[in-house]
Amino acid sequence: MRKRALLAVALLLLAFAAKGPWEHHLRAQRHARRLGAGESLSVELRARLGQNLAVALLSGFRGIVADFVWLGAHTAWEDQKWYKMREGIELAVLLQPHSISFWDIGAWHFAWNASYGESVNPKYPSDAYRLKVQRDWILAGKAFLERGILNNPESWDLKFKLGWIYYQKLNDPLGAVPWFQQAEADPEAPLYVGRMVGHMFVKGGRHDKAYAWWKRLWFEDHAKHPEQLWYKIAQWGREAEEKLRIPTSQRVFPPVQKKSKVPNSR
Amino acid sequence: MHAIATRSLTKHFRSTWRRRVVGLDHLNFAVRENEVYGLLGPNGSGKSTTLKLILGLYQPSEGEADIFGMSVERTVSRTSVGYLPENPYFYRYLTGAETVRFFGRLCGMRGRRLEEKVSELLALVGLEAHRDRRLAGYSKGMLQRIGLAQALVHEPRLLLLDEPTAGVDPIGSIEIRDLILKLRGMGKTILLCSHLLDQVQDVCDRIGILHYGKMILEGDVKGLLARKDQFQFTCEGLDDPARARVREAIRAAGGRLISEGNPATTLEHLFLQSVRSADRGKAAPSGATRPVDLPTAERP
Amino acid sequence: MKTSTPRLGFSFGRLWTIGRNTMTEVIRQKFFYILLVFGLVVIASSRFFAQFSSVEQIKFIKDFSLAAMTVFGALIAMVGTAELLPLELENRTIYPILAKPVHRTEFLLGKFAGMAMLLLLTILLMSLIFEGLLLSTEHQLLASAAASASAPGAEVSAQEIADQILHQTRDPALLKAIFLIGIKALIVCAISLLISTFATSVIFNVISSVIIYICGHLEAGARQASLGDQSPIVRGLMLVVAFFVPDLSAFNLADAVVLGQHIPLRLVANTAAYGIFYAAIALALAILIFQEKEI
Repeated sequence: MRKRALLAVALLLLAFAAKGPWEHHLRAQRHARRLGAGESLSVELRARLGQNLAVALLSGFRGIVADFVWLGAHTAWEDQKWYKMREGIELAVLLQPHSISFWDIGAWHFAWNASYGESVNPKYPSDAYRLKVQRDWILAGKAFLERGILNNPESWDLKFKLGWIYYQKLNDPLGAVPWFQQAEADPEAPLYVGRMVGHMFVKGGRHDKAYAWWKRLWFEDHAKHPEQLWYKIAQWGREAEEKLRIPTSQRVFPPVQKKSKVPNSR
Repeated sequence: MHAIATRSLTKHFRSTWRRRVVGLDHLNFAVRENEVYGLLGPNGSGKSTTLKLILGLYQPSEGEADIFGMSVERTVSRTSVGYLPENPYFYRYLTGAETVRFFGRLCGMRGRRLEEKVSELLALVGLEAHRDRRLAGYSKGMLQRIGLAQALVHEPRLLLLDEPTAGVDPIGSIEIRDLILKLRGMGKTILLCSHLLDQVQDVCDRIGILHYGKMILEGDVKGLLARKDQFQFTCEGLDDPARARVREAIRAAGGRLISEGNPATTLEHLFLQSVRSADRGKAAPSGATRPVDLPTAERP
Repeated sequence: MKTSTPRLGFSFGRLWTIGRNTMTEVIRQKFFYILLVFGLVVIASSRFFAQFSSVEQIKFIKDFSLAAMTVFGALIAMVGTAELLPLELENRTIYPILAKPVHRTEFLLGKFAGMAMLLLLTILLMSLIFEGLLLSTEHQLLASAAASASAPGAEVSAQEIADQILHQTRDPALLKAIFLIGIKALIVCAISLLISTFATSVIFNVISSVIIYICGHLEAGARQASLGDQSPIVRGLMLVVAFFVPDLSAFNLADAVVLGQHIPLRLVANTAAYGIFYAAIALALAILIFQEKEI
């Protein structure tokens, strides 16, 4: 009886010893995929959160802690306290650097909300100064997204949003093109990302490139993407053909009358 | 084969203050099949310890015990033993029927056979009327009876009853006593622990007295209690002169009169008689002087 | 004797009988209702952060609900399991059970099984509330998306916006997160049961479980610290912690799921297997102690 108990204890100790390598293997797998990033906290984060919050964080409630930090940033936005908002957003992405929505919405807060808020700030001495501050915030949003992309190179979303800043806030549609193109390269990206590339060429006055792009989209397999706005692409393609004065014999896009015959037109 | 046999059964307890406490000291005893054996002794004498050792709830420090020839260390030995713990507590949220059913399932019973057994046992212990009441609302006597029912559910040949009448009112305890005799009639072997000596005397065939973990006396109840050197008459209808003549006759025959007087009834008898006649709607007898026969069941 | 050596094999029937009864027992306790209701309320309350944009709102609901499931799952596992054996002993309900032909292993595993079923039920309930929240949020967001995308000149169609919302609300990866939360609660349950085989105090048990729970999340850190340059005593202590305590941070994939990171099924399965392995060790140890226990 005693002997059996001793044997059992020995087996259990062996099992405990076996769990170590297993844990190590699982951890390596998570690290390779950057899952559960930062199980060990950086000194900086520990200092900024305090010990208690750090423990809560390590106990698997990182998402919640980040959300509450974000809630603070959200309130600061409503109060138009831009620097406080920025601090919260920075802390949130420090906590969850793989949160696409934090980078995305954070950049939007900088480039749209803060920049607009400052552009009408009556406390500033001159319009020139307001313009400068406005542009600083837009650039802050751009820089923020660039950092987000560095942290999440696989995200089409952030690249798309960065292109959007070039297009909407920096009035640089051609600057947006490479970002939209990078985003479009991701098979998970929705189809409108691809269409945006063409629009940017059009807005940047590069009708030749736009035409080439519309053609590229048009010659993709229509059956593969029934949800694509094919009739719209045909329309934009025709517009490009008009602009570039392509001879009728060389035109590829079907004339307007045939719209109904385009597969899956809406 | 004996229903229970122990050989040098010993149990030490470790306590924080003293090094070692002896709970049971080299106990040797045996219970024969189909007898009612009373294990007596003051509190802490080792009665409950003995039962727990027989049930495998404790492990012996030394020695061994068998049930029908099978070592109690093996769980399978429990198939032939039913146990009624001291002050039994069951899940208070189960009804009487659910309790018996639960224990039946634990013993591997299923379906119709189980349902029939549940009804049969509830009838046996007289709880059919309360079968769907939660145990939280049961009285102590009812709990003892449901305890007896669950102890019997797997039809064990041996029953271990730990203080089956403790805390139960006299009527309830008489009923339990009757039940024990009925079970003996059904061929069961019963080991009974008690310190209510009156009752032990009424139902047990043999008794053993434990003291400080040692068996200090063991034997047949009648044999142990009978005083063979004395004899007792109880008479009716003798007046004073007649009594004087009887005293004279005893002296003349060479005997010695040790005691005489009106035999007193026991309080228990008085209580039972009063309650029962009140139940029948009659007035309680005032000052009964006549000894009443114990209202126990006839012994088989 | 009909057979020379009758044997009593391990019976899942008996285990199940005890498990079902355990479930009934815990369900009838006050703490269970309080924790369950509180958990459900906490999950439901995440719906009130409606001022956020759609992505923020969905992330918040997911984070909040999954964290609530983790916390309340673990709490119910700790408090419920800690009380099982002490209550049986204190109320002496264990005596008639073990006096029946029931192996102690069956009894202990039955208790665990009952608690496990209860946890399954609890997590299922919380998941239903969670799913209801997601669906109602989705409904609302789809309505507003349709309204905004129907504006003239919009470059993105309503369908495409809807797809993006649905991609986040109908995310099957959430099941992976919930599954691992369940496994984690089972580990906590096994640990608590193990402690209750030698500790009689419920409070002591719960406190120990909480400490082990926290240590389990810091276990990776402890392993690192055991190699660090602390004093030998600290290093030794950390080594012991890392040796015995499970790595609970392995189960924290909920955050990654919410962030939309891809988690391979193999990793989920491997992590679950690790959790079950650890729970099995804890249970085996519990059985070993319980076999020897004087009741």
